[in-house]
Amino acid sequence: MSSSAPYRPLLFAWFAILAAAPYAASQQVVESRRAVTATASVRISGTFAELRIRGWNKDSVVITGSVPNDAHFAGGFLAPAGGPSPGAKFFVESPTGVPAGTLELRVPVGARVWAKAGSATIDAEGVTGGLDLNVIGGSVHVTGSPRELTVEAMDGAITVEGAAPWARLKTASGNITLGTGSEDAAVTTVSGDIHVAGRYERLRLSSVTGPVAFNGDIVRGGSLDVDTHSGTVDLRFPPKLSADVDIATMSGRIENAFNKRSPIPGREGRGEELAFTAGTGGARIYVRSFKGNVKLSQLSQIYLKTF
Amino acid sequence: MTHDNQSHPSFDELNDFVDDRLTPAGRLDLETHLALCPRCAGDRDRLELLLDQSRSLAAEVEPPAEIWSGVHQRIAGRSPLGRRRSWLLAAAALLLVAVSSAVTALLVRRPQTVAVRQSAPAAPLAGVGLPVAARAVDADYQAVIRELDESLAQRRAQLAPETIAKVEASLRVVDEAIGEARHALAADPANRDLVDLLAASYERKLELLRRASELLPAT
Ligand SMILES: [Zn+2]
Repeated sequence: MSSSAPYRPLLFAWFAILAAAPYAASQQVVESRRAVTATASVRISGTFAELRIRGWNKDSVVITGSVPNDAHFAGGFLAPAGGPSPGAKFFVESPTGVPAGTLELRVPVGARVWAKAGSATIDAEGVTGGLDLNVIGGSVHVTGSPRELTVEAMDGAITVEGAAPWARLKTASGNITLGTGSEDAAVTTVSGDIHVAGRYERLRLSSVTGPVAFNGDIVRGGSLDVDTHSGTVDLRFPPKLSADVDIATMSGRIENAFNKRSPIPGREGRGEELAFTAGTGGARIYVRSFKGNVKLSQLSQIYLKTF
Repeated sequence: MTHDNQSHPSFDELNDFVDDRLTPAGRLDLETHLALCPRCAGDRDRLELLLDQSRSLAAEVEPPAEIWSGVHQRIAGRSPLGRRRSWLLAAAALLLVAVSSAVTALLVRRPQTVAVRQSAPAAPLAGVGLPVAARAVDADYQAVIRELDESLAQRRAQLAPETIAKVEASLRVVDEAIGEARHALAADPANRDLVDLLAASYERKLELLRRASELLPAT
C-alpha cells in the first residue's frame, strides 16, 4: 500500500433521471454533468437507439437525452474525493431489449469513449482522444481525428470522415467508408463494401466477398495490403504513384489501366499476376485475391485535389 | 508484475477487468495486484456493484450512503438479462488469445505486413514446409473455432433471433470461402498465396465468432 496518502474511497455519484412533466409521457429525461479529467474514460452501453458523442473544450462530461419510461438508466462517475473524475460509466437497459432513447454525451476532446449497443445510430464528432464503438445494426459515423479509433459492427454501416492516426474498422455485412487517410489503418469485412480514400502509411483492406475500392495514395515506405476471397478489387492511384506493386489472383482476372504493363498467367496457369515498380518505388502494394477480379487505374486530377 | 503498490491499475484497466476485456495475462496480472491491494480491490467491488445493480434492476437495493452519493432512480421491471459472464466464454477468449499468436505468426510472415496490435510475440515460421504450415493453419483455427462455436451455442438463448440470423448468414459466407480455399490448397499445396488467403478467411471467421460471443445479451 502507498503510505504517503491516506486512502480515500472512490465514490460513484449516481445521477438524476429527472421526471420532467412536460416531456412525452412515455419518456424519462436524462441529465447529468460533472467535472472530469481532460483524458477521462467514459463508457456507455445498452439499448439506446441513438447516441451523439461530442468532444468539447471543457473538462466535464455531460450526458443528456431521454429514454423510455420502462427503461433502466444507471451509471456514475468515478469520484476521487476533491478532484475531477477520471471516469464514468453509463447503462441503458430496456426490459424488452428493443433499442429506444436518444442520448447526447459531451466529453473533453481528449477523452476516451467506449460505447456498445445493439442496433443504434452512433454519431461521434470532435473527440481527439480515443473512440471504441461497437454496434450490431444501425450505423456509426465518426467525424474528426481520434488518436485511436476502433469501430465494429455486424450489419451496421461505418463511416469515418477524418484522419484517425490509428484505426481498426470491422463489419460482418455492413459497408465501411474511410475518408481521409491514416498512419495505420485496417479495414475488414465479410461481405460489406469497403470504400477507402486518402493518403495512408500502412493500410490493410480485407474482405471475404465484399468489394474493395481504394482511391488514394500510399506514402513512401508505407504499404497497402489487400486480400479478398471473391470481392472485386478496384484500386485507383495518383499517376505519380511511387510503389512496388505485386498483385496475384488464384482465378480472378487482373485489369491494368494504370500503366501499360500486362498481367501474366499465374503459376500452373492458375489466375493472373502483375508486378511492377511505379515511379521510383518505395511503397509496397500487395494484393491477393482468390477469385475476385482486380482493377488498377489512375485517379483523376480532380479527385487528387481532395487529399 | 506490472502493478506494484506504486502503480495501481487505471480506471480503464479496472473496467476492462470487470468487463472481461483483458487478455489472460493481463487478467492474471491484475488479479495478483487486487489480491494484495485493498484499495484497488475496493474499487473493483464498487465497479462490479454498479454493473450488477444496473443490470439486475435490483430496485430495492440502496447503495450504502457512505459509498454512493447523489441521487438515483430506478424503474421497476424485470431484467431479461441472464448471467453477466459465462465461464465458458472466458475460457474461449483465453484459448483464442493463445492460439491467435500462432495464427498471427503465419499472418505476419509476409514482409512489412500492417502492424497488428497484438501483445503475443510472433515467432517467424520461415523454413517450415508449406503443406505442413497449411495444415497447421487449418488445425489451429479449427480448434479455436470449435471452442467459440460452442460458447456461442451456449449463448444463443441470450441473443436476439435476428442477431443470430445475421451472424449465421455471415458465417455461411465465410465457410463457403474457407471450403473453396481448402479445396484449392489440396490441389496446389505449395501455393503460399492460397495459405495466406485461407488464413485470411479463417481470420474473418474468428473475428465474427469473437464479436458474436461479446455481444450484449438480448441484442
Ligand atoms: Zn492498487
